[in-house]
Amino acid sequence: MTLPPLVARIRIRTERRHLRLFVPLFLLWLLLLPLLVPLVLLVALAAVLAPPRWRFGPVARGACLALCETRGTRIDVAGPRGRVHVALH
Amino acid sequence: MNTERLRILNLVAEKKISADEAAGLLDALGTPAGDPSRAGASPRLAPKYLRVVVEGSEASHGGRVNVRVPMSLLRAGVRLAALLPPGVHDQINRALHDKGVDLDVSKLKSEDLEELVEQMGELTVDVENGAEKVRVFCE
Repeated sequence: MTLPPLVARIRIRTERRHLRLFVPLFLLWLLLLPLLVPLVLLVALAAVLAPPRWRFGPVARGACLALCETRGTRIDVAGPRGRVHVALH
Repeated sequence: MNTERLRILNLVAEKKISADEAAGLLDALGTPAGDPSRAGASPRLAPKYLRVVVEGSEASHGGRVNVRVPMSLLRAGVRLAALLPPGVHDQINRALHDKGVDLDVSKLKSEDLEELVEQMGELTVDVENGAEKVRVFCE
């Protein structure tokens, strides 16, 4: 089972300051967990009511999978005034 | 070259076995007899990440963007695109066409993706226009 990104590391470096953020995304997922039950019900309802060409179930599963696969993404942007680095673990 | 292959070649040199028999033995060892250059070559590993590096010149203050995206995210994205209804495909195709990309998203199939990803391992795109340099490659 693939888990969604659990931690995001953000570094912002400018001429004057150097900021390091360690964002525990797993807490965010835990906080969002109570919303998951009504969301699943909503998706199930949409799957029943929507035209058959809209496959809500597989699309929702695919979206969750895509979210999980963002682990390992790194974005590094450097300019003359500073540098921003974001990494998902 | 490992010892088994060397022994087979020695047997051919000593005319103890024919070239056809040697080819069969080399095939049995897992290497195509007609491709000796691949003997002992390590298997190619599938790329894990797609890297996009954009470097600005000194004139444009030397900005740099470095993005690393997991290949598995691309796979998941293609699978997701395959699930979208045809009407949405048309809208995406039109938007891509407006941006100068002639791609039919509905023809993207997850079955073809593995081969595509495997081939991307040797992909390197270098674009330089004087002010900026863009490099796309897999690792």
